[in-house]
Amino acid sequence: MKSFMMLILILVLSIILVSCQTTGLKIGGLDVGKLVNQGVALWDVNNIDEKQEIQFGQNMSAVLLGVRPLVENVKLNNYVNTVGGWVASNSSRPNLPWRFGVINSSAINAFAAPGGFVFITSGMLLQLENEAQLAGVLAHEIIHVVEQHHLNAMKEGAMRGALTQTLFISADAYQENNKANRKDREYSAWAKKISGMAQNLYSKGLDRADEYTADQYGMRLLAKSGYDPFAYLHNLQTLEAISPDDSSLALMYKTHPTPTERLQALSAQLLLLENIEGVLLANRFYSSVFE
Amino acid sequence: MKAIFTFVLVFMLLSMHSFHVKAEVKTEVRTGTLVFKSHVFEEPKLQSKSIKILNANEAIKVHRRQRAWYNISSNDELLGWVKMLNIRFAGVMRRESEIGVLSLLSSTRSSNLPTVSTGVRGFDEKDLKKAKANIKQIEMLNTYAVQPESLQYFIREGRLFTNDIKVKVKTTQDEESGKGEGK
Repeated sequence: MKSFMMLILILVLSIILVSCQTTGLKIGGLDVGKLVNQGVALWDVNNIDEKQEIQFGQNMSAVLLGVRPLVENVKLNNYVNTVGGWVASNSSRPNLPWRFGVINSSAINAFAAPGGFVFITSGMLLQLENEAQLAGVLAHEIIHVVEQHHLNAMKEGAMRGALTQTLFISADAYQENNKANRKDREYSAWAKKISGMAQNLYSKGLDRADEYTADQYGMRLLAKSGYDPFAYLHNLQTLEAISPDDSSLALMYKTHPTPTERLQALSAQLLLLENIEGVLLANRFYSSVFE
Repeated sequence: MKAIFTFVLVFMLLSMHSFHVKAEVKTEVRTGTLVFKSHVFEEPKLQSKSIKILNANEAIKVHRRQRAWYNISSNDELLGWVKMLNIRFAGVMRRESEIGVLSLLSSTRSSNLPTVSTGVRGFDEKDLKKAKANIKQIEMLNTYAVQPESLQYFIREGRLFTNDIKVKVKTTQDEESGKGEGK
């Protein structure tokens, strides 16, 4: 009995000590100070390294693929990965572990997530006529990744608190993941926070200026990769011709400038790239996508 | 013997025909209108001779594209070349019910999972709000990563090359040219 009382006393003292060690810093419902004292590495919002960026992008991609899964067509996904892999190899971050996927959705859209994750919907794929147009859509998304547009958006304004909180939880889950014994409870908390922020970001969209930048740099990256850069304008003109009221374009119209505005902003590239020769590869596109 | 010879000949002709169809790049004639009053040029370049001026909103047909120029006709008369941004296409949207599209969704499947639905599968704000992270899909995504040898073959086959172009050259709308009237 005496030893039992001693054990209780030690336990109580330990709890008090641990409580004293917390900094009291709380973000949302999360006791950040406690996490720090438990040895969880802090992820500085303003200084996220590449490994953290990839981990974060993977988490966000899981949310996108939670909306709609990938098309179960190995040949098609391999083809899109190869086109994207080639274009990404010409970008300023060729060594990211680039991944490209076709999301099974009739919506017309494309998405990117930090660390090298790029997705195109099957609905968008249907509107394309050649490999150059596909490469153009992927190049636009590659620029978002290369320029860290998503991370920058989350660092700003109302999302900053959410990002900090999510990164703490990501760090926690990441450590557990590395130990290969992640607890379900922590995983649920992590997934919930990541989901909330990714949902918010993909619903709200990036800054319009980032979209124009992705168009301009993307068109130039397309040309650098040996494709006909004007194929990208042709694709935007195809999207421009679809009624804005069509439900398949709802999210794209909410999160991007209109195709007409984007075409106007790109008109200056006509002179800069007018002497560039590039390929379209329509036959390879058709045989890879539709046969 | 004669029948066999005829069969072989017909087979060869059919094979040649199908090869020709496959090699042909599909070029659809599309309808549209002119956004601006536009010069029509003899060749697809600004230094070329202007052969006609068409008014804004005029209906045209687009036959092909060469770089940033469209070859157009109006009232069934093949005219010449106009700058591509002077044109707005009439609405054409491809739907999944079109021929060939089903293969995009269901051929060479990687597993025995149920056939993918081809109905409306939206991706809007409501769908995003309901979404739950799907880590298994990330595992599947990783299986599609491109292998270096496949990429090298792909580059050779497409005769792709890297152009000496600086990617980060930003321009503004103020610098743009060619807006308004077509020339």
